[in-house]
Parts: sequence; C-alpha cells; structure tokens
Amino acid sequence: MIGVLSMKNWIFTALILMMAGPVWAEGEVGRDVKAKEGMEALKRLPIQDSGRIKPFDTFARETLQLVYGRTSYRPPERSSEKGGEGYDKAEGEKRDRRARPAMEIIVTWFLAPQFWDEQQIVEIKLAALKEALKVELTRDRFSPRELVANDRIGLVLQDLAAFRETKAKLTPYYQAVARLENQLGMYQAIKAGTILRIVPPTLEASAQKAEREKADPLLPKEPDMWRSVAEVDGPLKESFSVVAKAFIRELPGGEAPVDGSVPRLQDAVKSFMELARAENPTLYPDGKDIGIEVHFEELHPFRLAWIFYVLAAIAISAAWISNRKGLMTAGWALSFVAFLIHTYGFALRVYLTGRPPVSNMYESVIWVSWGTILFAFFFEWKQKTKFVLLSGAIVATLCNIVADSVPHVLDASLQPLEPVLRSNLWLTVHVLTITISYSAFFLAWALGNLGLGFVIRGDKATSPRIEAINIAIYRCMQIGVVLLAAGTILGGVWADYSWGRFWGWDPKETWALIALLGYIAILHARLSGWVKQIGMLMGAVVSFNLVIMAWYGVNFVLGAGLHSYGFGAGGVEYMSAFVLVNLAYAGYAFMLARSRDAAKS
Amino acid sequence: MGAELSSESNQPEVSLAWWKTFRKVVRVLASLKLAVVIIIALGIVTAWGTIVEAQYDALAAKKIVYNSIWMWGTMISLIVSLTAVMIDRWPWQKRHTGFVLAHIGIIILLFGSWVTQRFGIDGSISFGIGEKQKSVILGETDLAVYSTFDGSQFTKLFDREVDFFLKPAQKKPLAIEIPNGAIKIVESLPYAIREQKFVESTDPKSGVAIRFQMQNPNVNITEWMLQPSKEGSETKDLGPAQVLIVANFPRDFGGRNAILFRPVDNEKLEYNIHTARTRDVKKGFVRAGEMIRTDWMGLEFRLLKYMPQAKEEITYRPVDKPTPLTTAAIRVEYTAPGQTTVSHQWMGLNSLLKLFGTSEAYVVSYANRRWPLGFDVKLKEFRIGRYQGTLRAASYESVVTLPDGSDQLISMNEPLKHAGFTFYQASFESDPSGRPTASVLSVNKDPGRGLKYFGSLLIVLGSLHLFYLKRRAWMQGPRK
Repeated sequence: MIGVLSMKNWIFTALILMMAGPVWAEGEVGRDVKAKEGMEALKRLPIQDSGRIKPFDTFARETLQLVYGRTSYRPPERSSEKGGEGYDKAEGEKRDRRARPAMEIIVTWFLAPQFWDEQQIVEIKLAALKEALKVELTRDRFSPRELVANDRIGLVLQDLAAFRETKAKLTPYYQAVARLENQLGMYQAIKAGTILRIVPPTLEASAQKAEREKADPLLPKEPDMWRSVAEVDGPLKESFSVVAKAFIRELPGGEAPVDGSVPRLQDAVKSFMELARAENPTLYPDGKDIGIEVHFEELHPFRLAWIFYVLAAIAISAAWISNRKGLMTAGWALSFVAFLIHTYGFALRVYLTGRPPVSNMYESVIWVSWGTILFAFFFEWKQKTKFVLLSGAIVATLCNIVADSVPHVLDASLQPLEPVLRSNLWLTVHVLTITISYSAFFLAWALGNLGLGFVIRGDKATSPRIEAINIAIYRCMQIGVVLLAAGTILGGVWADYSWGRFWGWDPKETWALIALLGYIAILHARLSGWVKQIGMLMGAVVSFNLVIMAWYGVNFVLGAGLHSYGFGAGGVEYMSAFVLVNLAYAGYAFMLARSRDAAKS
Repeated sequence: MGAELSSESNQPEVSLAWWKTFRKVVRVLASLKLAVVIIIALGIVTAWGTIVEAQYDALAAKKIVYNSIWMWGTMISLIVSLTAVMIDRWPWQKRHTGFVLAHIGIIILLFGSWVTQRFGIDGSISFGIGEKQKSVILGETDLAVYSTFDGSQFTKLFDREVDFFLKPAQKKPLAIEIPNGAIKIVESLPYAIREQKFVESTDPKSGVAIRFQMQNPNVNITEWMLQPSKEGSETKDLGPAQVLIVANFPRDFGGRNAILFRPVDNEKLEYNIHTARTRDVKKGFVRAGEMIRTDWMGLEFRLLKYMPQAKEEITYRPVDKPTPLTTAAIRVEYTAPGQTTVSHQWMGLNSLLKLFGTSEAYVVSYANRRWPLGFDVKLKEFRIGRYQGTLRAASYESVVTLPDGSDQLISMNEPLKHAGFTFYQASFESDPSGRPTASVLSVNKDPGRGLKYFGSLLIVLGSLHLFYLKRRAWMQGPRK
C-alpha cells in the first residue's frame, strides 16, 4: 500500500484546493474528452459487493446512497467550520454547487480520507437519534470525524447490540442506529480499502476450492471471495496506484505531471483490468453485463418513462377538454413511448438480475404500474372513453415517481435473492399473478377517483361519463378478482410445496384473501342492488385500501409472518396521510351525492 | 365471481307445507345481502388475526382468533349461505355451471382445511448434526406427573393436555392429587424470560458462589459461578483463560492459564494463578471486593461477591411480547406428603421439575406433545450456501439418513416425502459465531391436501366459466 498511501497526503492538499476553491467550479470545462472516457472506464471496473459482481459505478451510487442519502454529492453552501485554508481562500467567490457523481466521491474517500473526515457526509434523519447523540437537530448530515468523536456514539451502538441480543424486531429508532452503524462501517471500510474487492481470487485458490467441492458433491457452492485493494501486492498494487494517480489527473483541475509519468486514466484502468483478469480469467467478467448495468443506471429508464407518462396524461386531458382527435392520438403515442421505455427498463433489470423482477417493494411498484398501463391500453381500446387511458397514465406516473423518489423506503439496488425465493416456477407464477391483479385494482381506483371528481362537479349517477367509468371499473374488478383468486390459490400451492402447508393464516396470504373478499363483497353487493353507480366508484376507491394493506401494509406496518424477505420500513406516515386524504375525498363526494338525492326527493 | 341474481327457477310440484317453509328459509339464507355481510365479517375476523400475529406471534393468532368461536361462526355461516344459494337456484341450468363450481369448490376447500386441522399432523423436529430423532414435536402441550421410589421405576399419576395460553392457571389453578400431598399449578406465563439467580442456601452440603469481574483495556467480563456441592468443582472457560472453583488444588495445571479458587471459610477464598507462558503459580487469599493482578495481558481479577453457601434459583420474568428468547412458564406449588408448608418453583415449557417427599420423589413434566414417526431420522449434515463474498445465505440444506441407510437431501423448497410424512427445511440454529449447530425441519402429514387442491381447482374453473359467460360484455365496444 506504500505507493497509494504516500499518494494520499498529496491528494489531500489537492482536494482541499479543488473542492473548496474555484478550481472545481471550472468543472466540466476543464475536462477533455479523454478525461471523460477515463471516468467511463473506471465506472466499468468490476467490483465484488453484496453477493455479486457489479460495476464500480453501481457500487459507488449504492454506497453514497447509504452514507450520504443521495446518489450524487452536492458540495454544501457554506463550508464546514473547519474548512481550512482552502475555505478562506474560496470565501467571497461563488462556490460551485453542481452535483458530483458518486464514483468520484467514493474513490476520493479512499484516496483522501483526511479531507472527507471533515465533510458533512453522514446522513442522520431521525430526530430521536440526533437527540440520543446530542447533536444539532437542525442538521441532517454530520462529518465522520464529529461522529467518531461523539462521546455518546459508543453508548448508542452498545445499546443497539444489547437490543439485538433480545432478538426482538428493530424499532424505527434502532433501525436508524443500525443504519448509522452501517454508514460508519462502510465509510471506514472504504477508507481502509478493505471493501474494494476488485481482484478475483488466484487460479490456485479457485482450483483448491473446486477440489473440495469435487470431493463432496453435496457440498454447496462456497463463495469465491475476491481480494480487496488492501490485500493485493506486487504488480497489482502498483497498477492500482497508477490508476489512482491517473484518476487525480483526470479530476477537474487536475494536471498532468510534466514528465508524463502518469498515463491517462483509461489506459491505467485498462492495464489494471488486464492484470486482474490474468489472475483468474474465468471469474473475471467480460464487461458486457457490466456495460449493460452502467447503461441501465445512466439511462434511468423509469424516470424517463414517467416523464412521458406525464406528457401522455397532459395530452389526454387536453384531448378530453378540447375534444380534438389529434391530441388523443398524441396521448396514445406518448403513453406508448412511455410504455416502451418502461418495458425496456424492465427487460434490462430482468436480464441483469436473471429473475422475474418482483422480489421487493420497489420492483413490485414498477411492475404493478406496468400492468396498469397494459390493462388501460386494453380497456381504452375496447371502450374509447379517454378516462381509462388517462387513469392508467396517472397511476403509472404516480408509481414511477414514488419508486424514484424515496430510495430509503423503496430500495432500487439489484440484490441477490433470499433462499426461499430462489429459482422456482410456482413462486414466479404466484407472485406475478397476484401483483398483476393489483394493477387492475389500481386502475379501478384511479377510475373511481376520477368518477368521484365528476360527481363532485355535479354529475348525476346516470350521466354517460359515470356510466362509462362504471363499466371500466366493473371490468377491472372482475379481472382483478379472477387473477387475485388464482394467484392466492397458486400461493397456497407454492406454500404447500415450500413450507408444507397450503394455508397457514400468514399475514401476507391473509391480507391477499381479505382484499379478495373485499372485492367479492362489492361484486355481490352490486348483484344484490345494494351498490349502484356511485357505490361502485366508492367501492373501487375504498377497497383499494385493502390492496395497499396487503401489498405495502403487511411488509411495512405489520412486519410479521413468513414473507419476511420483503419487509421494509419507512413511509408509513406518508402512506397513512395519502390514505386518509383519499378517504376524505371519497367520503365528501359520497355525502354530496346523497344530499343531492335527498334534495331531489 | 358473482352469481346471477334472477332466480326464476320453477318450483317443483310439491304440495307439502314444510317444503314451502323450507324453500322460504332457504331463500332468506341465500340472500345476497346476507352473503355480503358474511364476507365482510370474515374479512374483519381474519384482519384481526393478522394484527394479533403482528403484536404477538402466529401461535397467539391461531389460539385467540383463527380457532375462536368467531372464526368458526363465520365459516359455518359462509357454508350455510353457499349451500342455501345453490339449493335456492335448483334446478340448475347451464348458465349456473360457473357459479355452482365456484361455490362447491369453496365448500370442499373449507372441508379439506377442517380435515387437515382435525386429522393432520403439523410439527417440527430439531436436531444437531449427528443426532437422531424419532418423534415430531407438536404445538399441543401436555402436563404429566410421575412418582418414583428408587429413581428407576416411575408410576404415572397424571397426564393431560393443558392450554395455559387460553386458560391461565392464575384464573383456574390445576390441582394434581398425590398421596397425602398436593401439586398445584398456580400461575402461568405465556411469554417469559428465564433468569438464573444465586441465593444463600441453608443446606450445609451446598457449594460456594462467586461473582467476579475480569478487566483490561480490551476485555470486561462479569460472571457468576456456582460450585455444585462442597466436594464438587466448576469450570468457566473464558477463551484464553479458565476460572475454576475446586475442593482441592491439583499439583499441576497442564500449562494453561487458569485461576483456581478453594473456599477457606465464610470470609475468604484461597487462589492459585497458573500462567502458561512462565509455568508460574501465584498463590494468595482473596475477599469480596479485593482485586488480584494476573500476568496475562494486564488482566485484573476482582471478586465482587462471595457466598459461602449458595444455590441456584430459576425464575421466569414475564414479558409482554414473544421474542426468540421467550418461553412459556408455569409456577408449581408443592405440598410435600404429610406436611403443611408449601413451596413454589417455576418451570419452563419443555423441562422437568423434581419434587422430593420423605421417601418418594415426583417428576413434573410440562412439554410439547411428541408424535412418534414410527422410524428414526438422523441428521447427517447441515450446510448453508452463501452468496459470493458475503455471509448472506443463499441456500439451506440438511442431509438426513433414513432407517434403510439411504441419505436424503432436504433443502429449501425441496422437501422429502417418506412414510406418509413430508419433511421440509424450516430453519436452523447457530452458535454466536454464526456456525450452524442444529437444523429444524417442519414435518407434516396432511390428509386434507387432496380435497383442498380439488376445491381450489373447482374455484378456478368456476371463476373462468363466470368470466366466459361475460365474454360478450367484454368484447363489445362502447355502450351506446
């Protein structure tokens, strides 16, 4: 490590100047094409992390997300009080606050920790934790130095360890402490380089492992642990130190040494990867999947998709208000483009993970909105009311925006599967069937809200608009009920096969049943004449809360049962507010319709 | 999934008055509005169950909700309603196919579930690597009392299923007659944490107890130790060093780091500190509150408490909610034969309690019921597969040996079927370092399985037919 370590001091000074001073501000201008290509090459450097090989870029984004709470870094408006000389110099000049890509930040954590120790990069949001640490409640980010020096942090972490001993479920407070533990651990591991596993095990080590596995065919495949930057030596270490120097050179404001001893980053990364590949050619990825993953991360397809869904919704609304045919065609075209991007992003994700993309909340939100659009296309094509496609576009926009904007609740990272979920046809069929039924109910929900909106604006129960919406809602509920019933039964088959019982009143399966019962109750009430047009609108809106409970509530509120692999935390207050506002809106519309009826008679 | 409301089915030519009344009752029970009420009631009851499960655990939800009268009541109403609506639509026509299939399917499914619950076996076996098991542990709990005079022959005095969860003993104590005396279960806790305490003993045969602290800048351990009897010895392994209480000091201690204590009187202990590196033995006396320096990495030993006559006392501390560390516990009140004084002792689920009389002894057993498999299963191996470069589990698998000598692999989602039982990989136990020590298999026998699958099939076929009936409405364009 000597090469890299001696570099570190030099980089420290360089970084202070760059980050705090106007040099950074020159930013992109100072970068030539070669520099950009070099950074691109470094993004594609394979690294082993969390059970898979990923591009360095993905690793950097996930790490920055964990520690800092965002996937890019924004230098603070005011430098921290201990900004040092660089800060004083920069004072009075306008600081560049453009976001820096995650990769640059993570690499410099390793190269210049002295600088980053002082920066406010560790995100703590929970007020209770800030109180426990006796830090300023007004700040959301703290520097590693002040946290390590905090005299309460030891107690707080010990308290977490003690709580874990009781094996009880972590409360939100302890979840925040656990995150803090992870954040600091991650920062330290990057500083020390121990987590930067970028060199595959030697051929010899792999061969020994293969031998062991051959000797006992029942032995499960053990992991091939890659070696970290801190572990390698010899030519690999030297090559990495060249990468580090070249990286500094390509940073904004970095300068090439006059003697030409430092190569361009692209060449440095290339020769490092050649060396690493030579260590174990079979384990080292060929770069294709890595390239696709970088493409996926940079394209950000689901964000692109919602932008188009928003445009589609605007076009359809305009078509509806102005009654122009051309606008509706534009609406169709825009939603189709959005749908294609949505599908493309999905296909990339499926390709990268090698499994159906419904193994966590994030993926299911994306999948359900995809299904909603699909149903909306079909019903709109059949019914031609504009409302169905509009509702579909609204749901798709809503879902994709939510999926994109709350990363601490909906984790977008590509994760390996939990044991119980691995490679099974039944599982795939059961989950896909149940979640696609949510799509139909989601569409019915949007239609119901739209219909209630018309009611508030004075539509009668017999108005053609309400009639058309009723037909669409009825169809959505029918198809949803069939799919949910089939999916729940398939879930029973899967549970029988995997856990040994068909039905065990597990909360997840029970709530799927309750949602099913809710919609069956509405359909039967409609048959009996209890529920009429406005009742169906209400039913579509109110029953969707059962779906929310089965889908989100069991995992994030109840947090009990065998479906624990999908459990998460956060967002409960927003979800509750959303549900309450929606119910109040529906209740208002309903009361309005009833008072009108009463006035008439 | 709705049925057609219209029921213009022809009344058969029956003149009897009771038939008309029957049809009238059926018509009321077949009401769609009643069906809606029952469906909503079922939703509410099961939702309550999931909340109980989230607050406590699956067992509590099963006992409080899913096996409750509320659940049974709704289920029976549901079956009555489903049957009534089918009778009401008699004679069935072709368009009723889907509706009849779906409703019969639900009834068969529910019947299958009842068969499973009544006649099925649902339990688990837990064994360490190399261990054999011959029975399945079920959820039911039994209480049994045996008497013995010589410790080898036991007579069963009492054996009954008990459910202290629903019927706590503090509300309804359970008394067991023994000759001239009594054993009474007076208190029960559904969730309790076992706590071990050392207290002064009056029995002159009792050994000593000490509480000590070992400390250096890196280590800080506080422990209790109890010498089982005046003549006995006790060893505590603390990694690089051992602490022992002995009746007599050995001459040599085999080159290990150890502190040995020997009780001298009510005030002090004599100690010998063996240091492996130097083969030195340091000797001296220590009293409560005093500190001894060792030659190992600056470790200091402090005697915090010394009890010249001590015994262990097990108590159970009640907690509100279950965790993996909690267990059910009961408090036993014992009146020894011919005596009037009573004593109280706690015992946890799946443990034995010995009570001594003048010449005889009683053994109380409070345990989960065991169901004999009829054959032995041996856990040969248990393994965890990991995702590359992490401790994250990718797969769990057990290799078991059956009586015929064959080795069978049981892994997540790949169960083993043998002699009518199905064995599934459920979970595992591990030591603090994360190394697996035991495998837990869930074992069941489900005679209702076929019925449940058949019922499910009918429901799906029925729903599809209902859908098929609506095909025209589905395919038509916008309504004019």
